[in-house]
Amino acid sequence: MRSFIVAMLFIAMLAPAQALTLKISTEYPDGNFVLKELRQAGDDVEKRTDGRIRFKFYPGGVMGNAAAVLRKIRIGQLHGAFIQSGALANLNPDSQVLNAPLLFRNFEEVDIVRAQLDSEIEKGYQQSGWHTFGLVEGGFAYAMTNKPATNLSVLREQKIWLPANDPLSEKIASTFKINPIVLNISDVLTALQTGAIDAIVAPPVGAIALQWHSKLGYLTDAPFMYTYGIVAVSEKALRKVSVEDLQILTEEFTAASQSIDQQARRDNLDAFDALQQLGIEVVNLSSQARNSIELEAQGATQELIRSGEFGSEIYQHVVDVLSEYRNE
Amino acid sequence: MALAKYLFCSFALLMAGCATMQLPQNLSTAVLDSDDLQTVSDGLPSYLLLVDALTLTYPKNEQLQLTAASLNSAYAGVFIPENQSTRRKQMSLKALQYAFDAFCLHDKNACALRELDIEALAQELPRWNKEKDLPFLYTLGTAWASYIQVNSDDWLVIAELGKAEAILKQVVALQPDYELGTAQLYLGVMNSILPPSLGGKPDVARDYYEAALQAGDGKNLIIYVYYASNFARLIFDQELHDSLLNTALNLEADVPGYTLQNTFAQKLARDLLATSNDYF
Repeated sequence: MRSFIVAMLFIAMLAPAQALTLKISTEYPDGNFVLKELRQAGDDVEKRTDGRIRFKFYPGGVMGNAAAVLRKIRIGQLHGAFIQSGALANLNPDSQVLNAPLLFRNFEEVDIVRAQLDSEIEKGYQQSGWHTFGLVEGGFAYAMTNKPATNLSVLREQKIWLPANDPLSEKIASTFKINPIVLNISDVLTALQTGAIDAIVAPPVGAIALQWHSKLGYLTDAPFMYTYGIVAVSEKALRKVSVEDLQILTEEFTAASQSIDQQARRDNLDAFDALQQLGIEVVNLSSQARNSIELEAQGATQELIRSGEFGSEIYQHVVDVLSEYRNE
Repeated sequence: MALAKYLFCSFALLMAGCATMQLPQNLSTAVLDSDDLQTVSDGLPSYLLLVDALTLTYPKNEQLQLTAASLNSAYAGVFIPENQSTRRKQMSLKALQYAFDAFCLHDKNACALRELDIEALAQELPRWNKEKDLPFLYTLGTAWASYIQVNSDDWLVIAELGKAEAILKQVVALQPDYELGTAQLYLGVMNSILPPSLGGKPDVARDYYEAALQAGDGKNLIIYVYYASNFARLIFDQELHDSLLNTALNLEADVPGYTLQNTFAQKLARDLLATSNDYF
């Protein structure tokens, strides 16, 4: 009997009590920088917690679209995701404030605003049942066209693509009175080649990776929308995790999120430069055109606030930060 | 990416070049049919230097330029570790330049290929529609694809992916089973970089892999391995993944001209199977 107890104790020492495997979904494919960072963070957490927390990643969107992933998290089939902010907008509407159209003029403004807003936005995620590790930049989406789009009227004349299943973008397009052509992302190149569309709003990295750049001539240097993602783990999945282990988890995934965030910035800047070297002409707006387009954007944003996309209070906070910076 | 194939055809080409130097003809066969990856890895750098020297000695010899392209590209992709990215980039760039030079020597109309945009390239490619053009198209397409792969942090280079794809499509249009399906394999890999949600087209990729398997006729085991690692893992299909890898392990590796590549493929297959349950 004694040897049996000793054996059981030995086995208990080998297999960590309450070992937890966190199942995390992402749209990024394996081998991508994002996955490498997340896997490394997962390995480090496993080592530092002596195997009490482990990870299994589901890359390439194999767990379905954002709605399917959230449903699987709700029923415990998954525990978290690296997901675009819009996917969690129902739970934390104010998180969409950074996606307001033509909110930022450049990345310096993003940095100024995020330095003050990130914690507020993250608090919203935490209050809605998520453990998060910092916002991760997606980048700016720009209007890219085959005619120089110096104002919104020109843009409205284009056959402009909008991704399917993106309610905020659809609403923004609607408030701008743009009639987009909605297509799945995998159909965009063919649509550009056949002339079914002749304009897109997309980040430079996407335009190059998917070879869309070869069918476009101009990029309007007015960032249409800022996008970001977030690693979010359901608080429910972490209830039994000790304070010490949660600290380790937070440290490692915060570091990974920061690393991905910084890489995304580098990629966005490099891809923007690359587009110019590839012959895409950057259309700079006159100050009059910029004022006009920003004024329309503010009107569109007010409509977004009225329809409950995000709160007026947090938007005003962003506007105040930006005004202060622009008036310096 | 299916780089290993470079290695194996390049030995044949290298030895063809070396014939003028009176090196033993049987050496080519011995290397291609070797099942000792380590010996080849250790010995190959000597041949890289040799072929570089030969291209200097015979600068108008298109066959030697072709060999140099294949050999440098293969070594960069297969044997230089990923953490030596500068070396990989330098060698793959050298390989690409050799491939352009070879094509230019083969046909002066190809001398400005690098400068063409994708539309102009697509218009030019049908001009090369003869069997004699295939080695030049194939080597350029595969060297370009490999150059892009090792420069995946450079957006200007990533922007060239469509051009490499267009060249490989021309190879497949001319001869679908060229190099036992390796051109089809490359196209499969190129089309399984991204998942559908990010713009990828797995169905297109699957068709290329299946066509490659058919062209390979069970003799080109690397197709099974990249089908598993780049496609089955992308769509998260463990059954397909394990089945492909087990098939690769159960098939005969000893195929004249492919033994070394197949040995490499089986090594990769064992590594992938060992991590299958962790991944899926």
